Amino acid sequence: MVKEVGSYLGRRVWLSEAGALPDDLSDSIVMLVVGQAFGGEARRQLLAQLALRAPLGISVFGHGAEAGFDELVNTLSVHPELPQVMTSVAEESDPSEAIEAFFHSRWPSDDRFDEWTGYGIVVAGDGDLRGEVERVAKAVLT
Amino acid sequence: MSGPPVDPGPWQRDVPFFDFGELGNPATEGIPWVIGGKLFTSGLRWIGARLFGRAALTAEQALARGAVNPKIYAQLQKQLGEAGEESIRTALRSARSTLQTHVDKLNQLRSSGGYTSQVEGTIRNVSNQIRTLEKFIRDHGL
Repeated sequence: MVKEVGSYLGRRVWLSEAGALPDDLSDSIVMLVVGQAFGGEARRQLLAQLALRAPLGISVFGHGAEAGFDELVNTLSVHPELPQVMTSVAEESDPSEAIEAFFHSRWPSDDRFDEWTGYGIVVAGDGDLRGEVERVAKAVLT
Repeated sequence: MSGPPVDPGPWQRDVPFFDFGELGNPATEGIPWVIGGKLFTSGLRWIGARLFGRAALTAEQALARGAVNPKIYAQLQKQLGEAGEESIRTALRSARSTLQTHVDKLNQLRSSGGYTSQVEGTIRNVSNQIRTLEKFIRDHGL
């Protein structure tokens, strides 16, 4: 389920659970928040699903973010037919700082800039993590 | 009929074509060795690149090809007004880190023989973002 949680510089900000990804992500830059219990093969599969939906960008934050970034780049590297997906790994360890940095420093590629209408946050974790991310995102946006 | 003097060839000539002794001037002494050394080094790089793949890219080399993106510049104007000066500095820090991460990943992919178009695209775009941020910071005296 996708939930609108506000807007940043005129673009909508939405939140989604990892198990309910929107089919079309081509208008959004996405941040993936990975929880403790979501590692290994589950993370790799989720990143592949995200990458194949070709969002404008994917930033990985949370548990195993560095490994997740490698998996993401490796997935994109075997799909040269996809449009440019800007990839990054969040260096911040604090969720609030990471979400703030996501809004302030992630942009699409030059050739896809005009397609950009939103920021998405995808949470891979339990209900507590989803609630926490939503609370932090709303606090950053106010 | 007498035509122009015929060169008897270097093996019969009394005066050699190029006499290193003529370069006795301290200002020019050693120049042939410097040139020779540079040619030798370039040759080694050329051979190395063909034997071991393309030369490793550095973040500085990538950045040198970056250009200002007017759409991001306009976005930064809005961001400065809404999120403040620190958000612009966060963006620059983050972009520099993203560039370095992708340059490292590109060099790794090149050595393992993977597709590199997505990573190269991200490097090109992040270099443009850094150039834009640097110009924005200069223009606004931040």
